[in-house]
Amino acid sequence: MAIKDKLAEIVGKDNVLDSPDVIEGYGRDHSLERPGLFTCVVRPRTVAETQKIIQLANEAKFAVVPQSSGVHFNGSALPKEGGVVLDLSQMNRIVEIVEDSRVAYLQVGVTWEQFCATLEAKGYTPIIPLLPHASRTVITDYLEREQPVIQNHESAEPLLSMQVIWGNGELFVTGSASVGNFRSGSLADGVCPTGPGCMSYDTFLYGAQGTIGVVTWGVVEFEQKPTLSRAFFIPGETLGELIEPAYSILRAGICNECLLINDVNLATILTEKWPEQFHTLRADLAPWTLIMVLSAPDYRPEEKIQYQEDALKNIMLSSFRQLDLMDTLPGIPGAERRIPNMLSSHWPKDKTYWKHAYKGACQDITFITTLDRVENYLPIVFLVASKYDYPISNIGSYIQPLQDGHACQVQFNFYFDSDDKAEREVIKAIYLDSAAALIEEKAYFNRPYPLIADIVYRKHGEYAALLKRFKKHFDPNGILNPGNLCF
Amino acid sequence: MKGQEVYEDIPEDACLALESIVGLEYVSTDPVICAAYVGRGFDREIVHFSGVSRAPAAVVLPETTDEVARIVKTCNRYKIPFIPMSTYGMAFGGPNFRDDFLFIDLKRMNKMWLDEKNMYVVLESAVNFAQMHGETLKRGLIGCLPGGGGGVSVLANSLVNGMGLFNYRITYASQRRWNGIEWVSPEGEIYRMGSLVEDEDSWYWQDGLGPNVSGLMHGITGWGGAMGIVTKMSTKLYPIASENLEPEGISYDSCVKLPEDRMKWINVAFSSEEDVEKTLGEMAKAGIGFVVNRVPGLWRDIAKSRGNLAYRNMFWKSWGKRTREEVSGRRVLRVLLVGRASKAQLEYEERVFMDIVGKYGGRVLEARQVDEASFFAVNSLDMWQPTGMFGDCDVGMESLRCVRAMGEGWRTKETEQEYLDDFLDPKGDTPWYMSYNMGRLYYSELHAWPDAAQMDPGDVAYKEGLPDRFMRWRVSEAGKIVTETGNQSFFQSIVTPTRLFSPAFQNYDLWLDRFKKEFDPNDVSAPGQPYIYDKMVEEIFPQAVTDELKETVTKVAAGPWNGNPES
Amino acid sequence: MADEKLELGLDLENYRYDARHYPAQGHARWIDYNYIRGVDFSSRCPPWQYEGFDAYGVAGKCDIVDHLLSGNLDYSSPTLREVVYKDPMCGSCDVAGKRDLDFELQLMLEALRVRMVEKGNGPMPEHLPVTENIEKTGNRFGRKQSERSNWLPKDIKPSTKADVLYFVGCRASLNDTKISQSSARVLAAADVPFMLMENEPCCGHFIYLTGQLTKAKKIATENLKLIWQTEAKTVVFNCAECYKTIKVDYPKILGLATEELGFEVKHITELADVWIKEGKLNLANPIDLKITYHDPCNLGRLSEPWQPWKGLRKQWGIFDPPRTLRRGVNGVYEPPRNILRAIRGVKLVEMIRHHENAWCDGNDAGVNEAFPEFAAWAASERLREASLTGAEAIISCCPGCKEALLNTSQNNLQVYDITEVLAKSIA
Repeated sequence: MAIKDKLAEIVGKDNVLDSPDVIEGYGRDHSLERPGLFTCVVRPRTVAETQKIIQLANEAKFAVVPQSSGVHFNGSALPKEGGVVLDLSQMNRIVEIVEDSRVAYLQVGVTWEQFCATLEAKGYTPIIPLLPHASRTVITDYLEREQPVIQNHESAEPLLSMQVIWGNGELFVTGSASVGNFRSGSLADGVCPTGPGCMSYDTFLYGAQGTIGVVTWGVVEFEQKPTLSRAFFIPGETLGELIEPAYSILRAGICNECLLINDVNLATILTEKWPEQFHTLRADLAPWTLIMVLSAPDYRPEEKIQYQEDALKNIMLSSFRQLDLMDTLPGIPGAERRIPNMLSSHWPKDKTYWKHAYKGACQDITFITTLDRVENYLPIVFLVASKYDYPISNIGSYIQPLQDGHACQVQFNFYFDSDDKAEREVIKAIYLDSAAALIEEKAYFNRPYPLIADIVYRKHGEYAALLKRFKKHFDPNGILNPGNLCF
Repeated sequence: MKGQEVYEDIPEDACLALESIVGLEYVSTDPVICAAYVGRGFDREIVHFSGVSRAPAAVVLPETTDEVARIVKTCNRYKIPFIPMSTYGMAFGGPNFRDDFLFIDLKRMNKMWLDEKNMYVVLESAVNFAQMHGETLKRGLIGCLPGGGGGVSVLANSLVNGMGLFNYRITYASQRRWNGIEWVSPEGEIYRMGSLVEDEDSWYWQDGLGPNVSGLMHGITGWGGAMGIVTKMSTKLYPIASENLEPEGISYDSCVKLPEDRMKWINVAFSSEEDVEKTLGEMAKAGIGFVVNRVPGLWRDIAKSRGNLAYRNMFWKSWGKRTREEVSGRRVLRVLLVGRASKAQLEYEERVFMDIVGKYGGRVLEARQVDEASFFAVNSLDMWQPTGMFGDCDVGMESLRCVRAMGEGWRTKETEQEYLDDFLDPKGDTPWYMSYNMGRLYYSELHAWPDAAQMDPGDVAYKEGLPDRFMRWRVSEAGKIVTETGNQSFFQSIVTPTRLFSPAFQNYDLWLDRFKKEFDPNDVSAPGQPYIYDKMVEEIFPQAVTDELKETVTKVAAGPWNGNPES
Repeated sequence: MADEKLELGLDLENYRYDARHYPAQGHARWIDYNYIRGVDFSSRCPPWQYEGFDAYGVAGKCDIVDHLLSGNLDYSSPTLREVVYKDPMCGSCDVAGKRDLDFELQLMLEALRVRMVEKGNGPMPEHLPVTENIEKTGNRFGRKQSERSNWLPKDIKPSTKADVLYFVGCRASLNDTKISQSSARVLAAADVPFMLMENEPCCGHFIYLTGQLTKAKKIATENLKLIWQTEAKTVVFNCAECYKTIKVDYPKILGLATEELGFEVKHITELADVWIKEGKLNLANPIDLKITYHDPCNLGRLSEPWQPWKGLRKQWGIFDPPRTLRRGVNGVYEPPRNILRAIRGVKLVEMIRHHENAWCDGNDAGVNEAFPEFAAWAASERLREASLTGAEAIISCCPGCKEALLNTSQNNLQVYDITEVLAKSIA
């Protein structure tokens, strides 16, 4: 019996798709990765079905490439060695909102759009990366290490327990939700991420790009929606002059959302009328802006905002007089109201995704470093871009401080026309060359996406070898998303 | 070699190899030297007095990661089992059941350095919390200090996920606490993980290149040495108010002074546990607080037992007089507020806290504005004060309602005559618990404190059968409640058998065994860990496991697991 | 199940509970955690830090005592002897064991030494010459007893009869006479008549602390008779070792309480502190010096009065009758500091380890004789710690401490006894 038939026995014929359109659609994403070739798409509706598929894959030795959202940017969900695409998007229920513990139980296919709407209705807010695509799934973004814009330590790592099917087909639950009678007798809420027992299984799944296990459900934190928010902005001619203020402000713990962003990206985000407004905004905006949002819950909110604001002003006056602390953005009326709302939600579904609004496509290069090293990386990327005649002024930059300024995620965005084949090749070259140059300067690529995985793992062969020894226990037949990472 | 040479369990060649690695003065097989490493620290009464703890066959003191790696390779070559140890605070982590261990004493690995700007500290295995805070507090930074006290190894505590008093904000068990680590695998290979793979100065980030293999070392497996030796770690520091905390006082009255414009202890008494819980819930929503600690009544009497009179006498003089009504009517929540940004923040948080306290009828008690339990935790041995044995039975780590149910279940058991005959009577008070992760996760301990002398078969005061009964209380009575309520136990493997409970939690021991086999093919890295308690219960305390417990585990294992219903 | 009978004393069996139940957990190794300021200068135990192996620290020694009492270790081991005697018996671990609990670790260690001697494996061979000196010549140096009063300056006239007996000690009498002379000048300046003992004997501190109990008892008995013969109401010391030996160890050995000695035991700093406050000492001469103060173990944490006790350990470990513990809180810490602060021009700075956390300079309990390298190291560590305060001088209140610090002084720190500084400041 053909694989497709066996799959149909599990999920039903309607959920096994292999038309050319489907193959074409699932085989491509917004990355520069070449299209994937594969047998079919299988769409389970339940964990049991998913597990049977994985078990079948082990028996029949075909690759399984898990996807949960319909939108992918980095190539990690494209099949590289044939097999089937495991589309988990039908498993998209918000199973439960546990208000006492401020956590939600989400199936893997729950999108930001669903989650944000549900939380909004109940007076809560998600811990969310910067303007994710509405159709991206919450759990996948966390597992991919998309960093929250609420940068404080308390809000880091909002994904707690998880249900996972390992590559060998075994079902497992990580964290304290692992208790056998969870939600049918036990009083646990699944709020402890470690364990069960003597290891931390959750750490194995982050950054794994679907090569270790298929996560089907997770416990996700959320927060009270602030009653009051105030945005502040510090414009800077250079990135460098904003680093020390960022350190001081973050160390004082007075803002929730905080990010450093260049004019290209900020204009892209704020433009409503393309293309005229974009250029106007770019002209009005400083080359760099440090954005901070002060927030207060419904407990003497004005007082909280007041002390935060006073502390912020005090820091600026005592140490950074040369910089302006602004409560609005020039040329953008109402930015101080728009931005807090924007930062607590996904990108509107009815608008072109912000990273595609400028030129149609975007290639990100993302890595981790510390704030005091960030500036060193700009000339490296600019040099590579210049080599390929890519205008530096078109490069988007976004620095996400992490955990009170302890480190930061740096992202450079290369905008391009995806219909222009030559331009695609140039961007690809820039991406690869940049990655190589950045790695040489100790940029830390915690997300080794397919195109650059080779560069990363060639430099760190020992860790790659360790990963391979490790993975074979979870996926002895190598069926889970082969061709990703170093597998 | 130091002292008398003895080659009964470790071949002379191997000893020569060790000497050439660390130097003659840092290796010993002398029985006197080795005898000093038997059954130390917490739970000695069980592990040591039952004969489980043994002297190692040899002790070696390396100074660098490289030396550690070469020692481990030597152990693999000669098939010598080894046990690594940093500060030796827990007896179950020592040489147990076997006489042929090489004890790798890591105390010479005590270097530490700070990146103040990026708020992390790199430390070797032997650096303890007091030493770390001694440096970091000068810069307005803290780690998270466990109840075990300032003398506990930071690295070792972080391996068991870093439970501690500041976890309300710093939180427990997250990857955010670790950054880079340097690991000597059970086979003796050195690996660097997290951003440390990039270079010697890149200790700042914890994620792996892709998956994070360091999860293997989390928990008792890593702590107990079953998965090699973590020799260096970088841990994140958390900014706190800017002033240093000045120490004052002599000996039993020593403490650190809190800067009163930026930190404040507030003790509040409530008349019901429900009011405490509601207060906790609102505090979490309001996002206020720094330490949030539900303190049992008897801790007050422990703290007040200070003076030249024997503490035991002082404690029982006051605790002995307390009535159940008095204890149950006075449920104390102890909160530290910190104005990290400013004095105005402290004032704001205090106003909000008072609003909440007022709403639930709390009564503010006196609180000295000093600290001896949180920043340096010098008074960690207070838990031994009342009876001589810190009879920790189990720990739950889960939601507040889970912890509440666990506490209620245990409180009922504490009224049973069999309990009262053997253990200190907490007089109906709720077990200790703390709020973690901004009120999402709660940590709670169940205690049964026997008289230490009565637990000792070598003492005239020995009470026949008490160790067996204690073990039954710990493993089965406490274990049943913890499992039934769904609390994940932090203490599984430390004080309770692993395999016994594993079926109720995804049969996780199967995964431990797989990785153990993979990475420690010669089974030299603390063999037996983390199953020391399993073996103890099987061989020495079989009555510790009741049929009721087994039924509970079976029932819980049978589920159904309903977190993600299919319908 | 019965209550344990206990007696505070020098029978090791009384410390079985302490050896078996001490939870250690770092307190025995590190100073009071509140005072720790990094890795450096955080240790409280010189032998443990020097040697590295836990056997040299009290937690390891608890294990060892447990094994000895259970018959699992042999008393005749040379390593055991080294472990037991490579220890200045400074009392630092005792303070740790009493901070939050009721363990008698110092007594356990003293009783261990007594047991070692009883079993024929103590003291160290290097201790025998000093022992012989004391027994034969009445001083630890083997010098003629007749030289013992040569230190006395011609202008100081002791009384033949006075309420105060000044007990000089071997070191200040025969070696470092600056201390005895300064002490005498202080007494004279305060207009306090004092006696000296004719043929003042050695206090026997060395003999007691090396575990030679029988000899120590003999010395204590004889010396007390001599003191009683003087009818002194107060015996004043400049030596912390002599002070603590007579105040604490004599009663301990002889089954008395300190208050039953029949006379007050005072260190000269205790008296001088009062005299300064009363105006009896005019500190007219300024001394322009930045000073740090080194607490002698025997004056600080080990000097609280002795109280014998015998009784039962009942359920929960309650003592019956209730007993008090000597926790080191009430040692002589402040009087020397008060004196130094009272001297014009002196700027007093504290080391990291001070008061009951003070680091021992290693020069006691036979360590200097049997393990001179270790003793020198301990003293050099203390000087290193002192130098980091920016102090120009380190002051102590014990000739033994001064000797240890002077012999090891590798830097520019001046080393004085407090009496020298005090005498110099008196008009």
